[in-house]
Amino acid sequence: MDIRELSPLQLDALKEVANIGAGHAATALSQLVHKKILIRSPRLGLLPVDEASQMLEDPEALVIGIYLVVRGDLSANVVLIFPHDDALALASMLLGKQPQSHEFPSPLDESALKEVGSIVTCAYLNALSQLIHISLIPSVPGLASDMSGAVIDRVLIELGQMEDYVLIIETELIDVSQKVMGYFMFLPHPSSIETILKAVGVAKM
Amino acid sequence: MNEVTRVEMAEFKIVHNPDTLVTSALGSCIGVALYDPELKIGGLAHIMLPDSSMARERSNPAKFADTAIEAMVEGLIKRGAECSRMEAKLAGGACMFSFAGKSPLMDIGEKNVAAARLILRGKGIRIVAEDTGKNYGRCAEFCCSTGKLKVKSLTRGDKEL
Repeated sequence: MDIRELSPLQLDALKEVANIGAGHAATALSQLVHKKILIRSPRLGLLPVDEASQMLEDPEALVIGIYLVVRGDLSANVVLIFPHDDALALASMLLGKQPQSHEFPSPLDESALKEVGSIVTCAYLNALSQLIHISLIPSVPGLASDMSGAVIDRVLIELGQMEDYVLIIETELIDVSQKVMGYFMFLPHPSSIETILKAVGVAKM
Repeated sequence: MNEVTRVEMAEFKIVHNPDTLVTSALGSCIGVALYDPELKIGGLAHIMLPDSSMARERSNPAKFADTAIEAMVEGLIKRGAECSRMEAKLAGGACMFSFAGKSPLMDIGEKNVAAARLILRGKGIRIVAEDTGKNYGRCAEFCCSTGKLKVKSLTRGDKEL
């Protein structure tokens, strides 16, 4: 299917599915950090692969990215992006230590953050599975601590090998003071977009 | 006037002395800089993929190593440059994520580097310097008055090639 031809109704349906997934993801993160985490309404980006990194505010900002590949009834990529300092604070909180300001995450920090990525992604995928009755299997998480543009290009390349356009469904995770904690990005393969649309009954163009 | 021109992902640009080309956030992508020191003109490409033959859509030649280098070399020759004088410098092609289970896709950065080297060699263009591979992102700044390629990273400091 050509994702450039998605109708407004179909895009809305994808947004709603993402909203439900992200709601569960935020709840899982809340429980991990004992803090209220909210979500903003998902943002859909339907862009040429080579322009997709423009979704990022600053491609040279230092971030920590956690990347998972989803297989099963859908093929998709999941990327969680946390601003660097927030990611380190998050890791410290989980490990029960004082937040330290060091340049690189320690192996223990990395491991804690990968676990966060896994748990949050699983919550998102579980919600999707239950909603549309499909089975989804996430990979082990990979982590990169670097400029956001370099973190995301690897993921875009994977999609760009076959396609010229990519659909990015991005949800901001925010705390009660509206401060952004991180971004959850869901990038389904075009064939999988069709699967989702069929399951929610809006497959016809 | 020294002008700075940005090269976005899947793009290449050619400029003359004294201008500068910059491209940011090369992860698995590779930056290929070509320079003719006699004419002081240079090009910089921000390439995503090694090979255009695998893709269904090939509308943008600057996306692939084979077609991007071809087009950039042609552009330089049109402006009077010669392959025999051209010098190439490479930056990027990192492997940003390490997984426990490696899939064949994991080394896309490595493939980009290998493809660029092969294509340049095929054209008889010398690679005089490179900062490629490893696991970190890079930004590149290519100065066409000197032919120097400044490679910056957030985590491993800066280098000048």
